[in-house]
Amino acid sequence: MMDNRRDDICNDKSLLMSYLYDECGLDERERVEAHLSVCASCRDEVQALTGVRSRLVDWTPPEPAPDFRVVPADAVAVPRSRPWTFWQAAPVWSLAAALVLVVVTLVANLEIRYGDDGLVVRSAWSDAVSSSEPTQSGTEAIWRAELATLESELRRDFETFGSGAPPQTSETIGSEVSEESVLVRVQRLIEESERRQQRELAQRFAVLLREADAQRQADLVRIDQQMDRHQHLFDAEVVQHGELMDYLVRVSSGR
Amino acid sequence: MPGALMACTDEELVSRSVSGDHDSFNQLVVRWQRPIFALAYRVIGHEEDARDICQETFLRAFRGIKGFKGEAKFSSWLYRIALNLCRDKNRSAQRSPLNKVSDDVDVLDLAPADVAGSSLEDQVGWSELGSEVSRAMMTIPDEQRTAIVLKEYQGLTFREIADFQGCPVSTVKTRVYQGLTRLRQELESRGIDRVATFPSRAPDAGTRQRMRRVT
Repeated sequence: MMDNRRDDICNDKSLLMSYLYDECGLDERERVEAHLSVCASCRDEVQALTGVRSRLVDWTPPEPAPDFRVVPADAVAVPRSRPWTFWQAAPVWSLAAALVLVVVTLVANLEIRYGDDGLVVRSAWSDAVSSSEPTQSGTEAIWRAELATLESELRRDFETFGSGAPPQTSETIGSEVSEESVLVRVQRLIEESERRQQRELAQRFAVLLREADAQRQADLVRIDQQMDRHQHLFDAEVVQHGELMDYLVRVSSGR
Repeated sequence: MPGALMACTDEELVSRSVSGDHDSFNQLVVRWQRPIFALAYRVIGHEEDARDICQETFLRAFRGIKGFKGEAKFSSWLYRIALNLCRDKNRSAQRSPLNKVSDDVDVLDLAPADVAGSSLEDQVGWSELGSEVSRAMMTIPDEQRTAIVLKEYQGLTFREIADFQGCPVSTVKTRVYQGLTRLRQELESRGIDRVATFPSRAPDAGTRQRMRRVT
């Protein structure tokens, strides 16, 4: 009867594991220990497995440990560009040229006509202006309104960029404003627009350069890791081949 | 604010994360990324894949945090995600372990011959023991290795491991036993067993706690 119980414990590896990891009750523990005191085979096995467990402490994960953060996608999304406007579609210089042409055309009361007799450009700057007073006052009202619209659009444009208030003009466009002061103001608006666009461009370039540099660094690290990995695999292959060669030599010499 | 978060429990951080507090979730990342990486590395046996799995684990946790009802501990939930990813990786990659030995070759035959005149400590430096254990662990089947890792390094009970692996407790014990036995053979074949000083009995509670803390 006793021998049967001893054999049961010898074959009960589940009980052995419970004992090894201290997950058995007191009575089971005493039973196993009583068995180990008389069974050399089981005692040796417990000692050997305990030795293996003590070796596992040596196995530590590689350093450095990961160090990352989870960032929601909307926090890193590239800001959507503003809807395309004709301001952005055209280069700054062309906008400036077009604007100056419009202003000069309006101020100088230029008449540009393309007809059978070819291209006709006629200025009604001085006398012509005064001689056509009713017409000119109507035209003036139109271009002043257009300029006011242009100025408000530019201001809106600046505000959308959000990089500061637009340059303050000392006066608003009104009927008493001189044409020269309007020109100066428009030119200032154009220059300011150009400077802002240049700044914007420079900032985008800086961001691009930073991103490219970060990508390059990441690629270098990845390449380096891949090289290490391949070297490691290669070394392992060499070791394995060496061991196989030793084995073959031993086998052949044994014959 | 970060200091205050450090003092929070996992449950508190999870609750805040569900409300959309990303800092709280990242505090959980800081707290658990190292154990998850260690777990993945030991189960997969490959550093780069373990880093990927670690990141993917937290990404999935981030996406699914609102569905986490708190029935289990947050760490258990993370372990489960990571272990599923490891299992998928093992299944898809079918990666050959380092120094894989063909089934028709007796591992004892591959043991390096003793070098006369040099001690074993000279032949196998202590610093190399970790890599030797690592290589030996990679030779045992995935399910046995996972059971051993969860038992030895995560300190889980057999019941908890059975829940993770979806099998009876007796199966887990068998896996651990067979894994340890295979590991013993592997280490003996590398001559490492002879530098161990075996205690006469099972490890005491202090030793077990020390081993559980190793992550």
